[in-house]
Amino acid sequence: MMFKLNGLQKAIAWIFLALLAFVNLYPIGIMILSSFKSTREIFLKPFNLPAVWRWSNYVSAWQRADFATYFKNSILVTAASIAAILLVSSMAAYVIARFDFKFKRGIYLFLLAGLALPTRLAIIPIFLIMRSLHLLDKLSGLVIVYAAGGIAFSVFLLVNFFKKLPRDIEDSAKIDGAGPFRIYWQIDLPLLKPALVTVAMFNFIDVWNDFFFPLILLSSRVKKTIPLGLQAFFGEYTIEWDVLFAALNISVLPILIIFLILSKQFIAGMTEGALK
Amino acid sequence: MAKRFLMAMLLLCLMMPAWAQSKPATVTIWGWRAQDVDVWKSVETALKAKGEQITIKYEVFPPTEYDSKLLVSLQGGVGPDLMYTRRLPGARTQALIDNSYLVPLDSSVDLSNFDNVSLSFIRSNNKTWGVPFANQIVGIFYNKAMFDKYKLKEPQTWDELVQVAETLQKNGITPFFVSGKEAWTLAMQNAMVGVSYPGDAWIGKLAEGKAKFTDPEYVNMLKDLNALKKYYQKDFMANTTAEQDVAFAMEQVAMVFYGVWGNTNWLKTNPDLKFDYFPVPPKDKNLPAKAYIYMDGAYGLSSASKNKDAAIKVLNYAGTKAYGELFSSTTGEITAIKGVTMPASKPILVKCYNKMVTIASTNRYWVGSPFDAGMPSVYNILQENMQKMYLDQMTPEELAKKLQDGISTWYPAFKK
Amino acid sequence: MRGRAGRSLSDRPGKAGSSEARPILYLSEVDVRKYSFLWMLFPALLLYTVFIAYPFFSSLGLSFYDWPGIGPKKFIGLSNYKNILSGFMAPEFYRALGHNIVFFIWSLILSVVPGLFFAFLLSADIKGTKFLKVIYFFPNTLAIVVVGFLWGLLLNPQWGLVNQLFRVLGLGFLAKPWLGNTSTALPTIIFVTAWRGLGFYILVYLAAILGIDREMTEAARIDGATEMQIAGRIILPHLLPIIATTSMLKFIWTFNIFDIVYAMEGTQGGPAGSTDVLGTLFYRIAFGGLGSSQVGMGLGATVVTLIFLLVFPVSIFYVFIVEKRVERGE
Repeated sequence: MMFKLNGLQKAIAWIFLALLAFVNLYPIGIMILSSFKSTREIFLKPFNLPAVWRWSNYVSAWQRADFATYFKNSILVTAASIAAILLVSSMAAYVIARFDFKFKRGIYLFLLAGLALPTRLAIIPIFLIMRSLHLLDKLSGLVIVYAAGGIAFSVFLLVNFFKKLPRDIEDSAKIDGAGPFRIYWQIDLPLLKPALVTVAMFNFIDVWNDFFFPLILLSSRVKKTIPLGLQAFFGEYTIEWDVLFAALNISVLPILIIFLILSKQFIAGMTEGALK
Repeated sequence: MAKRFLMAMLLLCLMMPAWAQSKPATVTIWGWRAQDVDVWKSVETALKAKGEQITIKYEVFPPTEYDSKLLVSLQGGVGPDLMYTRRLPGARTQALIDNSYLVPLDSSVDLSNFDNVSLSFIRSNNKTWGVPFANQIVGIFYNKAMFDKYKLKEPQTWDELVQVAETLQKNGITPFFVSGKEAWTLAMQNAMVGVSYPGDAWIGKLAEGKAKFTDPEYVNMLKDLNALKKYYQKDFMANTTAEQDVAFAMEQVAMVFYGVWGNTNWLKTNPDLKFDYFPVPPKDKNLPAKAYIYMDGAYGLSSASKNKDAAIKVLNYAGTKAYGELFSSTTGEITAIKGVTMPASKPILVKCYNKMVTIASTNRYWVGSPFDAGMPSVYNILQENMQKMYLDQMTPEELAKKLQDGISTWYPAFKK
Repeated sequence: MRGRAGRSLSDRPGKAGSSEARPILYLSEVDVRKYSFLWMLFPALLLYTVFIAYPFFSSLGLSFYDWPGIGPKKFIGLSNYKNILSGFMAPEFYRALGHNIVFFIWSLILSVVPGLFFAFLLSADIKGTKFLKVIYFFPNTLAIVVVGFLWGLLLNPQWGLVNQLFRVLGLGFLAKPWLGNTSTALPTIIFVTAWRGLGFYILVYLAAILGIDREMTEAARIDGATEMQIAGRIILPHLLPIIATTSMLKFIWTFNIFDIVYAMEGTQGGPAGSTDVLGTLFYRIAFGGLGSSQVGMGLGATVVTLIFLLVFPVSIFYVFIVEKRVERGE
């Protein structure tokens, strides 16, 4: 509580807070409502509740787009990418935050240059590397690119978290003869849980929603991820907006669930100063 | 030991081709048309019925991303056996030809079922680089019920078109729906008006450098087109083609400037919709009304294909009348194969096919024209500047000058 | 600085240096243990170098070539730069650059002002605001393609909900073709971007406010300062550094912006190029996209190189500032 407000001020504050919540939720509410309407209703009666709740929109979206496959691929790729990003970035961040060595600053800046690189331009070299490693049209190839692409921002966030951790426990562990990896793994990492959730969340949003790399690196229909499948779906059913909305909601649902489950730790991570 | 191993490997390698031939072949096809998925399934069935052990794997990519996906993959040597290619003249397909990613088909595929106009869109250096799949016709599509209700006839001149719009507007009906947010539709509108308004012959002179975009014929057309916008729906500059499809299908509007491919979406949204086609009428009633026709694209054979024999069998099938009928009845579009009867269940296809045969313009300045072969193309310039003209940020005269100046930087006949 | 593990590899004195016969890189057992932490850096460094840094910097080299994306490359020196900075591409380039700058300034204002305002409100003694933080952040989780599609529908001039809402509220004059007018299209996209991103800034500023020493504000309150004065004179100055850092992050993100313009106005950055930014310009040049058949990877690489030259110094400065602040323990 930084501020103490009186009753009237509180009421006014609530009006503003509620207004923003409304502006945030309203479009999403429309997206959900529209998915139960017919295309005709979506256009002619956008404000109304659906005359009949048409769950069939979801059934036909699910069936027509082979979402089961897309889901499986997206979940596999996202989970593996995030695990990889968390592991390699937190190790690197630990080293950068805790030790001094020559070229440290140079290496750190080199990694952080990644914050400013639009990787789209590099697609041809990336493609050629993937081909020589026989990783084209494989989900593992995608995971590697995402893991590499997530390093810059993740290392950057985690270094700052590591620097804020108290040194005392670490020092006593050192006296007990613990090596750097053990200190990192057993002492620092558990303390960093909110930070790791925050980093995971940011990467989850990017990886789950990415469209470009799956497009270029994958070719087979059975390997498609959700954004790619959704894009193809948009192309095929351009004006069946009822089914489109249902498909849209299906694609948003996993991220919504994960966000709600992790929101407490995520908000904690953010408010502990992800960016300070 | 190592020697024996090498020998064994060598033997294995030698045996590979023989082994591969006895196996049923898989032909991979890449394209940007989602509506063709069922076409290829039927082709596979038809080929199997003929005793060909060919499996077809058709992969669709979004039209906006297809070309970059294809380019990157071909250079990486992992492209498909058959690829959808855009029409010529066009830098993309030309680049594929120039760098030997495509194989000429004249000696291996029977192309006798195509007329020369269709083939001309995929010919370069006197060779044919693909099997055309569809011809498109663009023009004005109108709601028959609305025309009947107000006793309107298909206009024969531009002034009659304006009269029709005026009558509709007086009766509270929006005459035209234009999707101004998608700039390509405005370029297309300009082009379909062009073949009738200044006219086919004038565009012929333009291509030879004997006429200019700044000539009164063209400038007057731009002025009339700009004046027509009072008959478009309010705020038309913020609408998309998806919205146009819904508005036309749901009978909220009387006319659209569009292509024959739109019929699929309209009928899906409203199966009872009665609509018809007429070409944009000429200003001068002594000039003939012409329809803008172009070949949509073709199937090309990759030079890196490892299944060339099977792929050529597929291409040969794609050149038969049976395929043409299959294509038209499945997609509701007009096959590029000549002499195919359009499905009677789709009267609009019958009508459009008829117009295609009878009133196609021979000259054009939009897609599939010599003006689309360099940078900046007529297409590029029209996209941005038609929007500017409709938004009153550019006069018709300025737009004409912009075209003339832009094309003069590279088009041989304009450079003096 | 406590807990430093040692000095750098090459200039270490003592044991290793005393035995000159040894190869320079020879490490004693003690040294091996001392630098055993370094391996933990390698996985990240390796992945990043091979799959991000190398491909990117090798692509930058393309800016000296004429290359349509296929076939042989032709070396043309600085021609691409000339074409973009002062040649036939210059009008489009500077227009896009201008849009990026406008985008940056406005989206900065739209994130800082409401971001601070709501962070202040959330840090007041109001009950039940916990779930609001979740709601505020939620739009951030939506894919930009989804956001673009959704707002495209909401902003439709005839039946879109935004204009219908204005009409219902008697504000019919505000019912405009938002995405179809050169004067409103860019502001609309900026607004949608702010809509998606605001929650992030609220949480960051809230974190900074909650991190301020409470004794200071309490002391001021005892001295009779009003809440407004506390906010303006005590808290705001403490927030300036974090505002500066988020602004720089915003700068970096804004100059790489592509998806939202692409989703809402297409690769042309319409209407009439009024929303064209460097990202869409690059995409159009390098990959074509519908409507233009000519592509130039070399020219595209030049645009990216110029973006990089603009953004990279700011990133370095940003990192420098953040490091300084962390070291000061803020």
